[in-house]
Amino acid sequence: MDVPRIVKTQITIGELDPPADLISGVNDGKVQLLEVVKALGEYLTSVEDGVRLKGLTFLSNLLKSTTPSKFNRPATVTLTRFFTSGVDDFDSLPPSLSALLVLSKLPTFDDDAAVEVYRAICENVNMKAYTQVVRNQVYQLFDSFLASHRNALKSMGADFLNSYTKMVDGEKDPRNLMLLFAMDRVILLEFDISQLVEDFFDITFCYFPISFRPPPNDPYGITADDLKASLRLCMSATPLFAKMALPLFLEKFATAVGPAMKDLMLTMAACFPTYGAAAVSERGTELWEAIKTEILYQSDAGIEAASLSALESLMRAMYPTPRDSPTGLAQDIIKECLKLLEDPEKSQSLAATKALVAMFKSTASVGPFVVSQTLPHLFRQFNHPTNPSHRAPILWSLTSLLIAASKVYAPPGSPRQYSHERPFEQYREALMDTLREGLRTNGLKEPAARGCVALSEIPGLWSRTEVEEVVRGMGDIVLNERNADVRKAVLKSLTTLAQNFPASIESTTLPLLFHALPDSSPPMADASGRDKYRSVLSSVAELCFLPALFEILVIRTLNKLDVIASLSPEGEQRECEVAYSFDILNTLHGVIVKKLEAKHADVVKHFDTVIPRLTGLAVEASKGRVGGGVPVWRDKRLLGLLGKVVDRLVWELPAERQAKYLISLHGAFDRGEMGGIVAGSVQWTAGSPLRTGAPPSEQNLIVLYSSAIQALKPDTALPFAPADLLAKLINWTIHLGTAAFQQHYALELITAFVNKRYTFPGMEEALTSMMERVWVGDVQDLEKEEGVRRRALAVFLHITRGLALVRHSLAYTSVERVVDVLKLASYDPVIVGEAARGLGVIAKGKGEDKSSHLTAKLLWAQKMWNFALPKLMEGDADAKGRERLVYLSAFASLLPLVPASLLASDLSNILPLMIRTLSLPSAAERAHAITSLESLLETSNASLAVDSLVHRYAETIVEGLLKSVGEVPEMGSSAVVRGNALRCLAAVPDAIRHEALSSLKPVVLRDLGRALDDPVRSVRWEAVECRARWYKYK
Amino acid sequence: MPQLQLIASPQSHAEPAWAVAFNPKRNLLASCSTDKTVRLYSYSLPSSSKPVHQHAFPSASSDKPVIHHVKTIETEHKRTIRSLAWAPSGKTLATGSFDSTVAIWEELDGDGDEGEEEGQEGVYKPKAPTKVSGDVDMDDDDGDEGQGERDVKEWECVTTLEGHESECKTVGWSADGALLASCSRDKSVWVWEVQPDSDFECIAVLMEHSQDVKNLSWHPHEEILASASYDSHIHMQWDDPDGDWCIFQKLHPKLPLSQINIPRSDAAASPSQGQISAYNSLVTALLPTPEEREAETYLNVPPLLEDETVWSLAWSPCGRFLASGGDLGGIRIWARTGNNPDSPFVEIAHTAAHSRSCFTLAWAQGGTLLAAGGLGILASAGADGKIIVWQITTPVSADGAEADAPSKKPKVSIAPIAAIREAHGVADVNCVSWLQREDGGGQGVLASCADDGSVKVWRVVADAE
Amino acid sequence: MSRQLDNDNPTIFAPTAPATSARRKTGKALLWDDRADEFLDYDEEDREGMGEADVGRGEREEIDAEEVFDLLRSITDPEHPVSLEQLRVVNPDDIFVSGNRVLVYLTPTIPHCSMSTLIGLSLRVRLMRALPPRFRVDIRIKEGTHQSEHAVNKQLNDKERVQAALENQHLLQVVEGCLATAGKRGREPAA
Repeated sequence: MDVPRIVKTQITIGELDPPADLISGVNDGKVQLLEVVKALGEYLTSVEDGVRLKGLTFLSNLLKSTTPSKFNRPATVTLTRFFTSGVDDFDSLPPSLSALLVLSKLPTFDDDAAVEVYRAICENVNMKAYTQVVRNQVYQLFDSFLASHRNALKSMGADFLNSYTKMVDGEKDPRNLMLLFAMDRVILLEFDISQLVEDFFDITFCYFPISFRPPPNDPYGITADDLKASLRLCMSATPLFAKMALPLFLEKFATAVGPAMKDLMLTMAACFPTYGAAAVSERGTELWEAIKTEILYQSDAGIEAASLSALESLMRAMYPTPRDSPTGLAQDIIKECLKLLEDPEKSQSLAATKALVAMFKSTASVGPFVVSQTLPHLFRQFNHPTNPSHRAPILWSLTSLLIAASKVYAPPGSPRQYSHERPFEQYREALMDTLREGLRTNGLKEPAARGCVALSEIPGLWSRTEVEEVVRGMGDIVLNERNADVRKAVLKSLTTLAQNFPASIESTTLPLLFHALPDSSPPMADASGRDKYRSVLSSVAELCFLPALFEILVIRTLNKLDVIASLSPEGEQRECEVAYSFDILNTLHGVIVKKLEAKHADVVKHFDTVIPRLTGLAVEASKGRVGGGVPVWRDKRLLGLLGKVVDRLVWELPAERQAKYLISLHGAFDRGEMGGIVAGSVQWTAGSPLRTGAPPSEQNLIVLYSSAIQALKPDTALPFAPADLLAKLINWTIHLGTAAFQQHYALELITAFVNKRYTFPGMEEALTSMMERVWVGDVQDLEKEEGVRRRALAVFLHITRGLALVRHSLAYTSVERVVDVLKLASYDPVIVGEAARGLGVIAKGKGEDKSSHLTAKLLWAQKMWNFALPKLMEGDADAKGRERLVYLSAFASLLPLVPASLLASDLSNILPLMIRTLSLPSAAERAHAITSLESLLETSNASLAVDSLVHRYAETIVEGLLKSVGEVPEMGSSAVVRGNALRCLAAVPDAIRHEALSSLKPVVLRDLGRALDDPVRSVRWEAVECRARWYKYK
Repeated sequence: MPQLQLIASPQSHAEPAWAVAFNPKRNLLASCSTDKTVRLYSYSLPSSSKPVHQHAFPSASSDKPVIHHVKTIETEHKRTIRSLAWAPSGKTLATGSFDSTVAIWEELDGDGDEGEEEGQEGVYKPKAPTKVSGDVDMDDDDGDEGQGERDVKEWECVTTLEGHESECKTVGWSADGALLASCSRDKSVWVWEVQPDSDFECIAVLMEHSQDVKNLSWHPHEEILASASYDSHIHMQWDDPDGDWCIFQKLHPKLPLSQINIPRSDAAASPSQGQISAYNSLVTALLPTPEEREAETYLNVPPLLEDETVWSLAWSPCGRFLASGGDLGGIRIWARTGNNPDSPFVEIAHTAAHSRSCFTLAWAQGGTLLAAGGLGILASAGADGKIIVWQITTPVSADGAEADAPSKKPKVSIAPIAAIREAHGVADVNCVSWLQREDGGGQGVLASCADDGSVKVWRVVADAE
Repeated sequence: MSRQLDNDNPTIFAPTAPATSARRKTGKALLWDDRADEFLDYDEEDREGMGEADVGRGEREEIDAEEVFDLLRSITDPEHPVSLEQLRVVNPDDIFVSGNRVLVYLTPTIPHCSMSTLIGLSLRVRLMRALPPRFRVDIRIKEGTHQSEHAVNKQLNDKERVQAALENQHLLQVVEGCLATAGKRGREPAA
């Protein structure tokens, strides 16, 4: 490679970044660095500044991209010398520095070089003359020296320190300061600055307090806090600063406000310990006076906190070890605080408490002393208050101390052990008396409870007996307290306490609570009785969330349900028992859900108790019986909730356990072997609940079957051929399980089953033929009775839904079929209308319930939408007059399928359709359209195209919405659609510019005025919101 | 027994409508609103509308006048237009706005010298002033008054009167149109002199009210100006011959409230079905409904203890009586006790009328004949949504001369003859105004406007439909 | 703010819990936890297993004092960043509704509070916007809680002054400021 030529051309064309081949040449040894230097020779030594600069820069750039190993010793030395010679020249400095920085990092760059270069710079560079970028280069270089040649610099002694302080003096640039502060700290910590304390004090403290507001879009993103923090590290680096720093702090107090004051406090907190007892004690009193003001009168929480930590640190500095007896200042401070506590209702007394807490936290010397000084005082006040209203704040003060204590002693491995300090020993009785009193007295219960928890958490303080006593007290509050807030607060404390002492809760609280649950519901009129048991239920729910206590909840609730189920109440009272059972079961369900979310492992192991016993209740109740009232457990709300519990627990079972359960479940629903799914024995002779001629009560058990199968894992082994089951279910759903309740669970079952098992051998064919049969044989057969055709259609659509989720081809052909029949609007109105709305089934997708177990493939919804939409638009275009309505309603029903973002793509076609749907007679269909429209408006500003479209149709949209707000003749209305319309209208002002609608505003406000009088409160709520927004619309 | 019959509710303003007024010369009605527009409506009376005698009301079944909206003037006002007033000439309109200004409007003439004529084409031409109104033979040579305004040209703001510091509440022209008065939230009443080329000079600023001046009203034929205020006083002012414009009397209401006296049903005399139903509808309109009573007792709203604001004023056509409407809904009648311009007024009656503020009063000829002591019909309306028409009469002695000389304190009776509740649905009624034509046509036609922006036109009919 | 507050340290009370749903429910509804609603879809069909239809469906829910209170509770005080409810300026027990009439008493934080008129105005504007127009609203200072109680009452109920105030941009901004939070109605704002 012809190095000289390359170099020549580069320099002449002024391209100062060395070409790749040269770099690689150097890096794989083909070219020696010194060759290049030689080649550059004439330029590097040129008398013309410009030329020389080019040479320098070129070389410097080359070094940057050269691998360290390529610098041999001689090269390093020469280059270093060469570039060092460049530092005295203004223009040459920058390239020289960057070269030197590269070199300084090399192993071949030795201590002497470092010192040499450092000296050269200090002697030749006038920092003030350069921009912060160049200055930064200098600091970088120093930093690199400090990193790799610290000792060399140390050995320079005062010589280095002097020059350093001069070099960095007066720097202002935040980025550079960050670097300097880092270096300063190293020097302060490691170098002997005792001779130059003042200089370092000056270059450090001159920046304090930092008042720096980062410039907008600062590339280095340095914040004031970054600077403060790293400066703080310097200020607190050496005790040598103490003599000068403390007076400075004290004088800063006069002026500092806001952030500066906070900074001052935090800085002192950081400094005191390093400055040490001797120095700090000298100014201790003055410091306290200064800090005190902020603690007592500061309104800003941040500053107050900072002041408290300053106080804490002051104590740390003055009384570091247990051997330092807390005489003098500590004593005085405590005296002052106790004085302030004399009037507990003053805000100062709160501050005083905080101060005492801070002191307690400080050290093993001060902490116990605080307790010994404060507690007797508080007890005295508590027992003989000058004014009864004082007791609450006093107790809060006490509790605050106790909480602080638990924070200090409780954490495992904490430096301070209770067993070493034992501050509370001599007050055991007094404390217990006070807390006992508190738990008994209104207004004191909450602080007392908190105090109890705190004490209970301090290791080795309380014995079980003490814990149980307070647990009993708290349990009593949870049970009987009328004030809900207090009840909640105490319950919260009790729950915390339960984590350490589950046994005590189990033995005292829970029996108390469960005992308070009546064996039968209070009568309809007894609202207070109902509130009582609801509050008890919510309490046990809180407590039994803990694994240690969950089992008790299970047992107790199941027993209670058994008891209620054994009653045979009539009429109104029956309704009450149903509601009571519902609340109990719902409590259990709620805890289960919460535990599963918290990944508690102990839930599943209760499957074999919970499910069979609950199932037993349902099965027993479903049996045909002579005389007696209608059993509680025939209630669909209970059954529905039971379904949820089954679903939850089955889903948690591992596949093989599921399979095992499924066998018995199938036995029950296929052959009527109910014994297999209920706890204990059951007299069941009837046969399968799904048999022809089974009474509705038995048919309703489908909820169990459905919930369990929906919760199956896809790989759970089935005890039957999937196709057979599906065939049976389809038949049952179309011809037997005709009640809405049964239909719901049967159809969900079908969807889930198809959705998870369509890949099973034989399923595809089976599905194809079954759907064919259902569609041709039932849906389209005008001979068949209407009910059958409707249900058949529902089945067809739910299968389609299951398949659509997995983007199965059958789904699309089926949808095509559905869209096809829409043509027959006037020929077969019933089914067509049903079919149009039916598309809503597919739009349901996985369903609202997050815990749905259906599997959905990516983009399934988009795919279905893109498939169906064109067909609908086509059909709509071809149809005439009223026949178009079905396409609109199909469109409306399908809308929920896709997010607004997707509508946006084809909006020019879709929006007009959406607007037309606003005039559909069916409230439900309009509701869909409006919801989509709303989300569309909410996102419209995102895209220009959408935005302009929305604006073009602004008035039509608003007028369309107003139709759904009020009652329009021959247009159905419902609270839902009115609510949606109002919400959507409320979204308009943010989405559409006022000019576009200014003329309509008065009209809208007037119509909304009517909506304010809606019969349904929730709708009025929306109307108020909406109207408020339109008033602001300008 | 008469009734109020709704004859038109033309398209309404977008926001609250505050005032309505019939043009004294042309077949025009004007309304103004918070929406900063003035709307003009043209009306035409059925040719049969010549009254049998001047005070008779038409029958409910007779042809109704026709009203339709002809023009909307988008004004320059920056805030609510609170009031408007037609100059007696009918050519000039004044509007007073919350933006503190008064604007003067005139219709653009058609182009060229003929303009005047063309402009007047199809306009009802008044009789020469010598022909006293009420003259019996008044065959109209051009039946134009039968039709509405054919073409209404553009109206332009010819001048804007500035001077008030805050919301102008009412404007009014003196009887001869030589003076214009305006009053304001700034507690002042200004009197302007009309000069050639729509120039106005302020000749007096009266500042003696201690609170907003809500309303003012000129004497029907003398230069006496009454102003009513939030400070609950009515000031009577005039141009003192040996001095400036000044207040010659400050009236402060004293009389306690007396119950509405609903006249005995003359149904007894002629018990026609119509009469009875009319009577009942009057009673139900006037008396609170059971629900209202219940609400009243349940809420028992504490009364406002400060003296009540005087919201509205109206002179009797004869000029000897002044009616005032108060915030508590009552109507007071003040009588002049002498014949000098500045003879003092006394409060002679205070009748319960509305259940909330009485925002507006309008007093016109009609009803009982003068000879029978008829002082005309007074319309009142307010925040309770009702419009009530009262027959005001003063007792007459056998010889037909009035019972008492003006010097003594005259008596009047105030009797409701027709009333309607929820005249504008749930909205407050802000203003009522009678149609008064020198030919006496359109007797008992009344316009009203309300907070919901609606404008309605009614007429008093002799009997129920 | 630099301006001297009329009442620079008012007593602040914890807001009461969002409108208790108790009064909304009657008979059967009271019996059922809201969580049961999702299972109620089937109650039209056979009553067997259901008990009688649950009462109170579709009947008009009248606007009552509590609802009016909800409209007002979260309006922000002109001087402090807290709600009128927290300052106890409006209280549920001081609101009365009957027929088409509403009566609201407001309790100034201190007897010489110059803000009372402004607060009253905010209340009026809020109710103008949020109550059906059929309602006639009277606003009164709670008796004996303000030195110029009657003067303020008279002002608050002068509709001309209210209308004028609404056209005064500066004033309107202040009012809008107070109303900005009104939508919370005792709840935390929806995120």
